Amino acid sequence: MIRLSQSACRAAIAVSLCLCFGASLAQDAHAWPGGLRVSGFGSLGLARVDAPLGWTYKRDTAQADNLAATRADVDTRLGLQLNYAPTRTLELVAQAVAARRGPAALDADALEWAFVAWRPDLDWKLRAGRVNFDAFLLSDHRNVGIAYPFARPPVDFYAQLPRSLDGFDLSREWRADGALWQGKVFAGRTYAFADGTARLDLSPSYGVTISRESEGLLLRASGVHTRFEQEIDRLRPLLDALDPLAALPVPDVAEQAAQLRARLALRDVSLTYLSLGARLERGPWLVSAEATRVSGQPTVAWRSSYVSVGRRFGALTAYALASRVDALTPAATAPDWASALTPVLGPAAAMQAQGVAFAAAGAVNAFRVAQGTTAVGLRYDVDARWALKLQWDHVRIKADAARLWTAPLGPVPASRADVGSVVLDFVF
Amino acid sequence: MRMLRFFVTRLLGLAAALAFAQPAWADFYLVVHAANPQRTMTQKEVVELYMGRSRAFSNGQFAIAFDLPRDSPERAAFYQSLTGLSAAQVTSHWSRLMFSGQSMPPQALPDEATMIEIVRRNPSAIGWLTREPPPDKQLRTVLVLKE
Repeated sequence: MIRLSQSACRAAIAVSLCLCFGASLAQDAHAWPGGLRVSGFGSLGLARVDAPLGWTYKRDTAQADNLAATRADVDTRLGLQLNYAPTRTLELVAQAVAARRGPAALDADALEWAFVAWRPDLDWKLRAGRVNFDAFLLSDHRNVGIAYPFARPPVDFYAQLPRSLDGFDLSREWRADGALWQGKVFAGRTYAFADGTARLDLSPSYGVTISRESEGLLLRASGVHTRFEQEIDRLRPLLDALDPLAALPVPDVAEQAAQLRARLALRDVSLTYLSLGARLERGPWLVSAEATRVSGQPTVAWRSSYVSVGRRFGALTAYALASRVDALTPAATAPDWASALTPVLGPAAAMQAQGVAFAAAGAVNAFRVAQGTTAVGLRYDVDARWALKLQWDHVRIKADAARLWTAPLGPVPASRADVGSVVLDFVF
Repeated sequence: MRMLRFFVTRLLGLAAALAFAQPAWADFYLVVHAANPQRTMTQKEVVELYMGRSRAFSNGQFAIAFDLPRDSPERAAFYQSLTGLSAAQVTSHWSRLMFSGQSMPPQALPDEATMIEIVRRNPSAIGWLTREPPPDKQLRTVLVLKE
């Protein structure tokens, strides 16, 4: 059974209607080559993962668990894009990406973009439908492996970020100081994955991006504000169990229960993303760096960054990458409620409350992410359409902050993991 | 003496092979419709058009850039000459723009004869050729790009 979100349906219908409408337009057909263009991209990847038993390596939180040591599902994907430009001011774009996703993903998530773009003049552009969440350097082409040197976008930075935006964006380009500037505002609703089993809607989402490009140097700054629309389903029983504890006439326990609940509850929590990025491509050198801070206290808060340096030697590019993500919320420890509540509730109920304390602290820590990655790799451009990449990642995961790997029930010690990857990227 | 002749013959053969290994084209001719008020263009202006950073001639008139097929050696040589980038780098650049829905690369035409025909018919068009275009009232060369 195909499940489509309402917004994706609206986007698809809008594009379909506009395709029909656009096909009838021929006002400047003599001057506009236009027409339908079909293009695509893909990656064939194989990753060998050496990680603690039961952990799954994921390039982003939408992916499904897979405990196999050698896996093809980390990077393998296939994308197809249709562009139809009936006139030079109007364009319709749809892009679908086939990849293995987690059980929480909707079928409609395969639709990356489906929008109508209108250019009233050379500088302004309005897009409506499902557009890209254009706040980070790689966020709008993270599936297109041939467009970047790495095997995959830096996981520490990109794994948790929102994906496409159902809404609109308005951009304007201008030239100043010999550089090309672009300002963009966008609004709508987006979604993100806490993990492969928890898809979260974020609405309303709105933001602004400004970028400057000159002499091979791209600078970008962005700010996005959004809000969680719902709780993570599997945490609801825990939230319900914490409610009566937060109402107990035992001030310490009530306060601790309220704090734990606040750290698990997502609904109506506001998130702000502030990001800076730079990419330099000059001569044989490729350098990129990006940093972002996400504030959604007390539930979600982290900062992440990466820097990469690469050098081309003809068709061969050697690169190194360092990235990290740090939770800005402290790890939780289970408070001792058994002692405090035994005189009030009796030993049996107090032990039950203690069980809730352990579960709540474990759940808080299960959603923390703090890790660092060092990677080195080689990219070989076989020809204009194919690129072969080899990459080795060494990941250091901090204690009680392993959400990108596992959903533990108890404390998680600091760990290390290695990932070796072979990826063949192509376009057609 | 026989040895010297042997080496000279081999060297001449190698030189000839290298000479013939060079592509048949030496320069690239950027052409527009004769009605286009653009008289000349700088290399930077052409780079802006062919790398998706601009959609207009410097006079503000809308521009439509045309190209040869992605796999053609002429195209690889053209972009190397124009931007200093390899064909793979150009693909990488355009993949970023195209698959993020920002803009589409110049439309590829099957050959230079078609390029001439399209530019002759379209006042907004700009194309490139590997040989100096024949005298034509409908075409104007705005830049000769040295390989």
